[in-house]
This record gives sequence, C-alpha cells and structure tokens, in this order.
Amino acid sequence: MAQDELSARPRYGCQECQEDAELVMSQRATAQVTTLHADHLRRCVHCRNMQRLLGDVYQGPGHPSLPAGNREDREFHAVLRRMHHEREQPWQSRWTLRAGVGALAVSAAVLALTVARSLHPELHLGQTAENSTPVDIAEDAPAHVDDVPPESDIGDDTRFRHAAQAYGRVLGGSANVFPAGGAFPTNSNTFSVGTELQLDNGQTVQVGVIGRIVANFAPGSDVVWESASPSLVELRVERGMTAFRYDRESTDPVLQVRTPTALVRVVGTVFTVEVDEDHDTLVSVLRGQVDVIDLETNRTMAEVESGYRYDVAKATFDDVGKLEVQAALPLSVEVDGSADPLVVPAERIPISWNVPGLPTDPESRTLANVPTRPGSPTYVIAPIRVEGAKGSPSEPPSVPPEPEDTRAVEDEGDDLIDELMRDAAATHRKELKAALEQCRDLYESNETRYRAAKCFSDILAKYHDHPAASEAWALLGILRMDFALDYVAAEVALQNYLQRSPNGRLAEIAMYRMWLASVEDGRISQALQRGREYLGRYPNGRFVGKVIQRFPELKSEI
Amino acid sequence: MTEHVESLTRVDSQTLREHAPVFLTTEEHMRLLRARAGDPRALREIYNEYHAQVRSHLFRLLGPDCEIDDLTQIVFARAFNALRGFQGNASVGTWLYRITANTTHNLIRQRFRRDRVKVALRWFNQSQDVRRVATNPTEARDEVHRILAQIRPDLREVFVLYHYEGLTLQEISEVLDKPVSTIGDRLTRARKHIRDLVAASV
Repeated sequence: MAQDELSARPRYGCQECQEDAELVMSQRATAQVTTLHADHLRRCVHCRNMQRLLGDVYQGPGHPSLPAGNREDREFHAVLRRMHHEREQPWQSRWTLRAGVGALAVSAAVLALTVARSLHPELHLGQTAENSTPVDIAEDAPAHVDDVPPESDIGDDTRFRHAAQAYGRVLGGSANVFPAGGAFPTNSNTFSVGTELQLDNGQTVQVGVIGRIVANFAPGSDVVWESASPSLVELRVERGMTAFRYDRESTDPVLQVRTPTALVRVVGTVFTVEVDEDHDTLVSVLRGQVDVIDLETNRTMAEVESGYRYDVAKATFDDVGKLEVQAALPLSVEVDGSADPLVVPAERIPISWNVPGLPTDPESRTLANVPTRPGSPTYVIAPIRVEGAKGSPSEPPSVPPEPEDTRAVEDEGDDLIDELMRDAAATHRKELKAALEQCRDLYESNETRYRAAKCFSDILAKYHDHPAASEAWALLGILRMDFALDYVAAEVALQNYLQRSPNGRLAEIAMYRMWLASVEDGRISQALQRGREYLGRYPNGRFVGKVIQRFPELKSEI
Repeated sequence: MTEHVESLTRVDSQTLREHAPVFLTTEEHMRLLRARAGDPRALREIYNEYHAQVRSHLFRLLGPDCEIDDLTQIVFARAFNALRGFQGNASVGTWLYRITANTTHNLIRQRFRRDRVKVALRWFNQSQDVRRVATNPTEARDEVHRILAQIRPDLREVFVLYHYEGLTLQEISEVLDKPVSTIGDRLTRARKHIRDLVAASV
C-alpha cells in the first residue's frame, strides 16, 4: 500500500525544490507543489539551508541606521553646501574651458607674431596689437563675468524667511538694551539683530527671539544677538548665565550660542550657558542635546546630553545642579500638545527635564528637591519686579484694575430682591476683583509671570461670562504667546477679549498682539492684513512705530 | 525670493488643484513650488520625508558602505539643483529613485568590475569549505550583502527596486528609463542568478 503511494507521487528532488523555492516563498505555488516542497525540505538538509538563505536574500538586508537630531541637521546643511558647490561647478568648468581656449589662442597668436616678425621684420608691434587675438580675448573677457549665474536664494544664510520675523522682544524684566552700533540704551522692548543686552547685578530679563526661542538672562549677563537667518540664529554670551528654551521644529533654524571659548550648537532643547569670571564656559542641558564646538578648530568638543553639565576649560562632565535648574525654571512651560501648556502647577519642574537626583513623582519635582552640587556657588536669582526700567516692555506689564461694572440692574421687582441681587453681584465682583488682583501680582513679576496663566485660567473657569473677567482673556492670550509660543491659542484668547470688550482698555494691545502673533508665527499675509486693521483703527496708536518698523510698506495706511 | 514664496502662499487653492501634476497632491505641489522658489523650509521638508528612503535604497544597493552618507548628500544636492526641471510626471519618491540610480550607476559598475576577481577567488575558497549556514542575523545580513554584491549591477538594481523597494515593473522602467520587457527579463535573470549563488553558497 505504502509502496503504491510512493510510486504514484511525482518525483520531487533537490532540483525541483530549488526551482520552486521562489514560488513557495512568494506564495504563488499551488497547494500540491507547496506540500511536495515542504516534504522535501523536511528530508533534505541542503535544501533547507538553501531555502533559509534564499529567504534572507528575498527579505533584504534590512534598514541602515538613520541620522537623528544633530546628525540629521548636519547632513541637511551638508546637502545645501554641496548643492551650492555643484551649482557653481558648470560656471567654473566653463570658465576653465574659456581660459584654456584663451591661453591657447594667446599662445597661437604669440607664435604667429614671432613667425611673422621673423618673416617680416618691418612689422611693428603696435600694428600687430590692433588686430591680433589678444585684443579679441580682452573684449571677450567681460563675457565671462556676465556668464556667472546669479546668486541663488536657496539656502541663503543671510536672510530670514521674512525680515519682519528677524526681531526679538523683551517679555519681562529689565535690561540695558543697546541697539546695533548704539552707545546708549533704548527704551524699546523690540530689538533687532546686533542688539546687545547688558544686565546689572539687580536685573533679570526674559526675551523671545524670532518667535521661537525664549531665553532667560540672569543678573550680570551680557548677551549680543549676532545673526538670524532661516538656517541659523546666533547669540553671543560675553558673561553671566543664560537659559534657553527652544521647541524647534525640523524646518526651524538651528540656534548657536557663542561664548569666548566655545560654540554651543543646538537643535532643540532646554539648556543654560554660563560664562564665569575667568571666561570659562559651562553648558548645562536639561532637555535634548547640544554640541559644544571648538572655536578654533570648528570640531565638536563634546555632545552634552540632558542631565549633564559640561565644563569647556576642564573638558569634564558633571550633573546639572540647582543653579541651572533655577535659571531655566521660568522657561518651564512645556508645549507638548496634550494639555493646556500654561496650566501647570506652580514651580514644578517638567517631567521631560532630566535632573539627576530629582524624583519622578510630579509632586516632588520642585526646586527644593534638586540636589545641590558640592562646591557650587550660592547666589540666588531673586525675583525682581518690573518697574518701568530701561528696556522694560513698552506694553505695561502691570495693568491697572478694570473699573467696576456699572451696568444697571434692570429688574423692576421688589426692592428687597433688588437689594439682595445687588449685594450678591457686589460680592461676586469683589471676589473677582480680589482674584484678578492676585493674578496681576503674579503677572507683574517676570519671575512669576509664567505662573499667572494658571491663575487667569482659574478665573475664567469660574467667572467665564462676567464682563469684568474679560481682561483675563487678554492677559492669558499675551502669556500664551510669550511663554508657551502657542500663537493659535493666544489669538483665540485675544479674540475672546475683543468680542467681549471691543472698546476695552486693552483692545489696542489685543489688536497689536494679534498682529504680532501673525508675524512671529510666520503668517506674513495675515500680518499685513492685521497691521492694516490696526493702523486703520489706531492711526496714532502706541504701537504704530512697531508695525511700521517691521512692515515699512504700511506707511501709506496711516 | 521671500516675496515670491509669499506670493505662492496666496495662490488660490482651487487654481493649484487644477494645475497640480497628476502624481502630486496639492500640498506636495505647493511644497515643490516653494522649494523651486528657494524656500529652505520646503527643501528641509522634502529632505525629512525622503532621506530614509534614499539612505535605505543606497544601503540595499551598495551594502554597508562608508560612502553612503556622502552619496545621500549627493543625491539630495542633485535633486535640489534639478527641482526646476521636475515636472511632476512621477512621484517625488520615484524621481529620487531615478536620481539615486543615475548617481550610483557608474559607482556600482566600477566596484563590480573591481571585485570580480575577488569574488571568483571567494567562490573558489567557499567551494573548499564545508557547508556554511547563517546562524545569526548579523551573519545572515552579511551573507545577503555578499550574494547581492555578486549579481551584475543592472540585475541588482532591478531586483532591489522590485523586491526591497516595492516598485512595480512599470515604475522601475520609468526609474531606469528602460522598456518594461527589459525590466521583466532582468528581474527573471536576477532571480535565477541569486538562486544559483545561494545554491552554491550552502
């Protein structure tokens, strides 16, 4: 019986197995072939090995490791450089070719001249020069210059996407703001490339640059904004400690911080740079990673990861300490898209920050629990109130209280009920006024200003439709814009304010801020439209100069 | 440049849809226009979207090679310089495959000729060896690269594009600028060659 079955089956040897291997792997073989193939593989070690190797070949060699973070960024910039180089190549080769042809022509002319002079000694050099080839070459020479292709805009590192974006703003605090080439500080809170910010020992300041980077400068700092382009924003720290937060998207420019001894290159992170009295540079990273580059050799000295502090002079790593965390804490607003970014518990260190020794429990992530590094200095950045000092924001950081609601109660009911309602309304207003006062206290100090957002959010949750609470919408919008860099949420809040109080005291600021949000978010067409609306409504407004500064073409609107 | 990019953002989306090439979505067409105008953000977006594709293709075509970083940069530099000539008659991915193929064409032929003697020697040595079976993923990967390196470059290109990159015969014919029948023939010959190489390896 078994003998009959075996004889009835077709012969299926190694040759057939190898020929069917690909059909079976790609599941294109019939059921009978698949069965025969499997039977043969069970019996034949050689075919089994071959099948395994063939499977590996058809599966492919897998994926290579892809560059990420800084490496990806470096590769992209290398692509841009190579692109420019390759674009220049045809011009160079053409120039070389023409130069070669020219040289040959000159040689031929000299040879011809020599021969001619030897044959006709009476021929003068002046006569020859008028008609000879060198003159033609000289006439032709400028054509080389004309052939030079125009400079390409692609990857141009000297221009920003729009000039209106290449500005920075003082968000809070005070500093001596020296404009580019200026010997005296200005009072403007908007500054351009080339501006130097000097802080005295009692000053701190928070600034926003190009609408993407938020920086906190500690007392005694001296920082210069060197350049801004679509690919690179560079600041120079002469002295003092500065903290940066940069929630960079892939197409945003790279941030470079230059110190006297090093260059810190950042793709997107939270970090501090300190230049001490000896001009030594200390780089501490709380989130992400930065490259520290040698100024002389332009080579990477160290890649500092989160949780580490790098001393450039000693080339040593250490843990991030309390001082660095404290300097960066005013920048602790996280924009992760999952929750309201500004409604965060006060003085909590974000979970995304890597601080060695700090518990992961959110309740315990406070500055008090950050271990102090042995031997670290003990100076503390004291909260400083903004008092309209030099370089303080021209928009008043302290907002006078809204006048009490004077709407008349139009009920015609019983006097007693009226009185009770008036009492209740008065109590309500008093509570709201007290709450607003508390929030304004937080808003006034540049150290606690970022925490005022939660305070305003609480007010709006409780007194959502109360007319006196409309001010909270405007201030919340400003905070969302300045600290969370969440321009869409800021615009919604500001629009809420303008709908509730179209002629309110903060209406002008709200309109200006909506224009500013469009500019900093790169929506230039919308910014032009909003600029026109602002100038149309407030032709003599407080921010006319700022609008014209960024869009000179709007002068005609006044 | 800035003004031009700005003007592009004001283009009516309906107009864009009407004029967008068949193989590109409106967003891709818009991005292409911005990239042509020299917007570095658009170039970066293209790079971000396709650099994994280009690098993986080079890795599969050439094996682990120290020149892959360099070649990836060359491919993108050439692509960015050629953006003005790209009419959208194929997807951006297919177009980049074509540039990759043109970039690596001479290189893999040079290497194939250079390594031919080495391969012959290796074959001879292997025939003296006992059976070799890949026992771990690293060995298997090396073995795969070794076998791929022995296939003729024109056959290897077709095999990699079809089996690893998942392109159709029609798409491969567009990438390599050859008739579909030629591509089909090369694929069949590549498979047969691989089968012979594998059979000789075990």
